[in-house]
Amino acid sequence: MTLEEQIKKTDEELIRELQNGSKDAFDELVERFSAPLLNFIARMIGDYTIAEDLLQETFIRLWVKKDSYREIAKFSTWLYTVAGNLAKSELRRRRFRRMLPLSSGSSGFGEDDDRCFDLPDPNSDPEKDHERRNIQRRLDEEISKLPVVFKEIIILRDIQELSYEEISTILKIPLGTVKSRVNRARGRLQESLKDLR
Amino acid sequence: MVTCERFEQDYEAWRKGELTTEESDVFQKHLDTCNNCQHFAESFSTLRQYLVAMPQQEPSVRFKYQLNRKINDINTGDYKERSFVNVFPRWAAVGAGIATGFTLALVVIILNIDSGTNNTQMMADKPKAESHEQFASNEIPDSTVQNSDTMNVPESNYRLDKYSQAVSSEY
Ligand SMILES: [Zn+2]
Repeated sequence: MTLEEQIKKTDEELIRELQNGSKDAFDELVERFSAPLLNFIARMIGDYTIAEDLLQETFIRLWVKKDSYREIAKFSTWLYTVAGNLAKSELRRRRFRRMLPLSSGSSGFGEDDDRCFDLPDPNSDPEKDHERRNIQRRLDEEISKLPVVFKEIIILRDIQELSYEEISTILKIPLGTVKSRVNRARGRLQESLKDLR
Repeated sequence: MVTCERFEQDYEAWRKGELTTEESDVFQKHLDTCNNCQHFAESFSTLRQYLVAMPQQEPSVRFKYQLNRKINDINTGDYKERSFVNVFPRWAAVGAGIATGFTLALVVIILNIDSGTNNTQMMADKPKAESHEQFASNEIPDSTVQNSDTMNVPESNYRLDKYSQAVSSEY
C-alpha cells in the first residue's frame, strides 16, 4: 500500500486495520493525532515534557487495548477520552502532592456583565504580531488557571475545534451542558483578560 | 443547515460579507433563532479568533523513536510500565512504606516474644550473630562464606525482586 492510500483512509478504517495487526495503520494514527493530543494534554497540565510522556502512554494504550475500541463512537473521541483521563489523573496526582497551584475558583462570570469586546481585533493590523503573541501567551496563562472542567472544554472546543457533539461524547455530558459550559468557560476567560485593553 | 459549530467557524467570514447571499440568509436565520450563537456573536467571537489561532507545538524528534521502541518492547514482552513511584502519589508511597515498616516491626516483636523462652539457645548462636554484623558492614570474611546461605541474603533479595515484579505487573 502506498503512503498516499494510507493518508486517504478514515480514522475508523485505520483502527480496523490496526485491530488486524497493521503497524502501518498505527503509525498513521500516531501521525494524525500526535500534535493535537500533545497540545490538548500540555494545555491541560501546563507542561510539555510530561505531556509527551502522557502522549506516549496514550498511544501505548491504543496499541495494547486496540481491541476494546468498538465502532459506536468516532475513533478520535475514543482517543481523546484516553488522553483526557491520563491528563486528569496527572492533575489529581499533582493536587495530592500539592505541587500545582490550582485555580482560586473566583466566579466573576455569570454575575457580572460579560458582553464586552475586551480584546483587540486579531485581524485589525498585520504588523501587530508581537501584540498577538503576547495575548496568546497571556491566554495560555489564563487557561491554565481555569478549573479543570472549563479548561478541558475550552481547549477542546476553541483550540482543538472539536464539534459540540464530539465533546459531548468525550466528556460524557449532554449536548446542552457542553454548550452552556463552553459559554461559561469563555466568559471566565474573557473576564480574566479584561485588563488587556 | 447551519449548526452552532458552523456558525462559530464562519462567523467572521459572514460578518465581513464573504459568504454568498444564500449562505448569508441561512446564517441570519440561525442567529435569529439560536440563543447560543447570539451570545457568541455578542461576546466571544474575538476571543475565539485568538483561541483558534493559538500556536500548536509538535512532539519532539525523539518522540516517535521512543514510542516505537516501547511498542517493540511490548511485542517482545520486555516492556516495563511506569514505575510505582511515578504512578502513585508520594503520599501513597510514604503511607505504604510506614504500613510495611509497622507490620515488619510487629512481626519482629511477635517473633521475639515467641523465642523469649529460648534465650539461652540464642546466646549459644553468637558466631552467627557476628556474621550478621559483618554482613551489615559489607565485610565478608572467608570464614562466613560457608554459612552465608544461612543469612537469608539470597532469599531476601529474591523476595524484593518478587515484590517489585508484583508491583510493576499490578499497574
Ligand atoms: Zn447556534
